Amino acid sequence: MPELVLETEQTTDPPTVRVAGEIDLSNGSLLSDALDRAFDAGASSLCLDLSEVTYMDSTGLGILAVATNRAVGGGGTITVVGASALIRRLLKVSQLDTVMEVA
Amino acid sequence: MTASGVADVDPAIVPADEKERMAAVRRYDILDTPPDGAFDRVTALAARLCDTPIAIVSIVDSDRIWFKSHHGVEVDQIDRDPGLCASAILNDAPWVVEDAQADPRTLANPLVAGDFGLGFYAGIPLTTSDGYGLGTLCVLDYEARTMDAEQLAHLGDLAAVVMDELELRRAALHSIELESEQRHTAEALARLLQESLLPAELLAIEGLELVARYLPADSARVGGDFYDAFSSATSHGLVIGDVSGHGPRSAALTSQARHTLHALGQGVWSPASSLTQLNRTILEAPTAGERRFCTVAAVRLDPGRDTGFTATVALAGHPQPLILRADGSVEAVGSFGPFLGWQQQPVYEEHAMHLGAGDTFVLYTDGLIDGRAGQEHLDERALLAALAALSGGTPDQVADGLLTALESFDADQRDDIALLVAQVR
Repeated sequence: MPELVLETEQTTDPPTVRVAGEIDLSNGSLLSDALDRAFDAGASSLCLDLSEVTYMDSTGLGILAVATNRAVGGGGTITVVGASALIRRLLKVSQLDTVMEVA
Repeated sequence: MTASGVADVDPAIVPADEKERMAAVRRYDILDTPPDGAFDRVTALAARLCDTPIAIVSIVDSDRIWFKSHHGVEVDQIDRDPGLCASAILNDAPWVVEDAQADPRTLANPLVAGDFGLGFYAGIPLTTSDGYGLGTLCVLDYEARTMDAEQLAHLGDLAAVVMDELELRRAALHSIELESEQRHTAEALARLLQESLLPAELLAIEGLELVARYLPADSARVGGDFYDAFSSATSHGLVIGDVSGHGPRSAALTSQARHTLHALGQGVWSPASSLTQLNRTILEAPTAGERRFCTVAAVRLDPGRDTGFTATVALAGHPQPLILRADGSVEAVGSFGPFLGWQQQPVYEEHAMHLGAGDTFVLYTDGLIDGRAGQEHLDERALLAALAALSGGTPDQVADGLLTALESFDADQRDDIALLVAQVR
């Protein structure tokens, strides 16, 4: 299983989930669990720092879509920072960039 | 040596269950295998503990005694007949000859009476759990001598180690065989499944030359990409798609997507409404926890009044189709729309353009949705440049050229690649 390191910082507003490594089918549940926990802790919006993500497959896309649905449903937003050019293109082609803030 | 081999051997040293015993020997698949440190350490230790110059791990074959390991003597095998190991395996008990020159069992044996001048032999049979003697762990000396009970116990323990090693080896061989068998089955199944996801033969569309390429990332994983071409009374359809994940659930979604689009394309359809419909179908499908997603590029081709076609494109999370014009110019067409299986009310925009004689229209999946960040990745401009360089090519040449370009962007090919190339005649 590729390495995926997750770190949630509650002191920022909104809370920041820092993601490092590769996101794929084998470890995607770690990310979705981390995002769920952040929402469960009361956050309506989240900031995702993807600057250390080296690989992301469609699993990651799905997780972002689900998280965005949850944020928007609760009146919040998902902000993505540090996305590489490739992930930006991925967010554009999939149109995820129309429902989340890509900083 | 005669055909049976055994015929040359004194029947007195052939066990009653020789046929079954030889089957057991073959089961361990050890004969004529290269030297192995594990067995060499045992023979070295046996010689040291028993204080003998020679120690051997022997396997009794039908006509010979083959040495898996030989310490203190440079011989790989001997004929079965003079070999003392053949006698040693007749009973599942240590076989000890303290003074071979005087012992009636061995005094006439050529190894004893001849140049070799064997004086002492102690062998412990290597007996399988089902009772067959494969060979021995034995120690030899040129002089007559005795061996104390402790040494014999050591030799017995070491023989058990040899047998354990043989069992481990056999288990490992067996699991490798099993694994390779399972892999072959899985691959065959995967191919079969994948073939069912792709049309056996692309539909012929009048006025259009159509070719497809499909390159699975891993032949044992299914459910990635699909493409199709279909016709109704008034128009034609081209679709290509990429489903997230791999495995049976992804394959099921791939099949569902292709067949839904194909069925919709039989009536009066528009690319945007087909995508909306497919999105609803995917959202309504029962999911066992894990959600699957799908990207699709859908194109309707309406024959022009005189020549060529009007192409109407709609995209759901899919990269833009490319056009290589007859004049050599290239462009990417279509408006991005949300991928399928995500939004309840997605909006898909249609984009129409004319395709004239000699224009080449390219639909592809590039594994974009399996994007790698840091490393070299697919750059749309690079792909357009590669396409421009293929100007004047036949559809087959364009397809092969693009396949090479797409492969180079994804060197370790983590995702499937599919291509559909249509050239207006």
